[in-house]
Amino acid sequence: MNLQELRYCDPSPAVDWEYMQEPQRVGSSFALVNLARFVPPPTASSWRVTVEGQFCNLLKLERGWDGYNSGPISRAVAAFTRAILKSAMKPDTPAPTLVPTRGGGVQLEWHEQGLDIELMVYRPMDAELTVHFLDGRDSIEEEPLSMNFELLSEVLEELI
Amino acid sequence: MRLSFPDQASLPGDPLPEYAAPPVAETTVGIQFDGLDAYNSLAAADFWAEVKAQFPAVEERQPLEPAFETFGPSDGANAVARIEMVTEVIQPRFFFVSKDEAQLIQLQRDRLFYNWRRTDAALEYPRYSHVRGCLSENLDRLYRWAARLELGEVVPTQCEAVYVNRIPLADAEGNKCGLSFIFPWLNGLKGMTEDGIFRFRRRLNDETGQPVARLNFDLRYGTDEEGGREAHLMLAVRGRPSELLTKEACLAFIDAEREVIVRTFTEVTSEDAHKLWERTR
Repeated sequence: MNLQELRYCDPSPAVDWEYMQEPQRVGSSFALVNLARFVPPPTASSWRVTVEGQFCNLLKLERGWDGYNSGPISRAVAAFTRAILKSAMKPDTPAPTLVPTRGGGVQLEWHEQGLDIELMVYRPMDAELTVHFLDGRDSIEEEPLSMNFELLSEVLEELI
Repeated sequence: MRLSFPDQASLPGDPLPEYAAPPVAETTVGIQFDGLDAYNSLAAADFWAEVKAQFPAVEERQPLEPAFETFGPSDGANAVARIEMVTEVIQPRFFFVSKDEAQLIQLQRDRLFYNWRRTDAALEYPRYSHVRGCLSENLDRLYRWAARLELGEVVPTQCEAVYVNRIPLADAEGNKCGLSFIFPWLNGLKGMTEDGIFRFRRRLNDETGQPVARLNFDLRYGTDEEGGREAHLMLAVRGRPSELLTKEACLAFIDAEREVIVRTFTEVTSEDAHKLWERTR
């Protein structure tokens, strides 16, 4: 590798570590160029492809899509939802159905294998989980979740 | 507020290491927030009018994507590229830059950050207390500005602290040295590698044991155009207090993030390097 790095380039602080081929530099005024770069291998994870397809449609919604002047889901809600799924889903977890809601939120739904799972994402860091088990177990009703999605993951485990 | 790794080495009350000449090249502290639904570029111009005397230059940049730390069993999944088609207007990220270019405020629809960066005119790191004070002042300004222009309510969603260090790979006499002189845990590699990257992430828990933040460690090294060897070490912590989301809570959280960064920096670097940077505690 011909290395001519360590030169100053433009500052571009604040990092997005998720869903990036390379991290944006957080607060760094410089960058190493011609340097070995981390390029994640392509993923065959089918739920990601399905979810991204749904996001494409939701982010294109025009204001008033529901007849009540609601806007499309916000990019922040989309980013938060991606982070949730990244934390809670396994490669073979079934993809959810994404339903836009009033106020720019999104509801994620899984209805299969005797479970009705609904995760309502109102705003970034503000979600609620509701689960109904058709085998008679006690339901989970509107459990608030913000950062820790272990509970959602445990429930989704039953779909695999 | 205290953040700790699940397998924390230091104990509460351990004094925070200090350096008289730390290799800090840039530091960034700030918050990500939600709620400014009425934000637009004219409102950003109004914010700039308030800081223009101290930050007279303006630059426009691509906005940063919203990013959130969440926790579950699958956090190590790899990234995928995506294409987004959106109907909303994409607002730029503004840099309001000081005359000596050493300080800047970054403002976009959902972020406010304060940066200090080393320049020829500002070689000495002004210390965290100064950086914190500048962030605090501008957070106050952010809340006042949002209320005055009726942009919406600022709801913090993430707090972030970042330190970037430029570390010449040279000893006290200026002689070239291997990476392991600075980073002793890299000892064992035979021969000199040309360049490289080493990255990891670690969860951070709050006092109740709940994961609330994440440390991102990024070490890169190589050779510059003059043949000098240098390492860049970036330590970034992002997360959110689990309850109160006031300005004071955000600052306390950023204090805790900075503490993790300072301790990690000290743990991953050698005592010989600490002497170079004039460790005082």
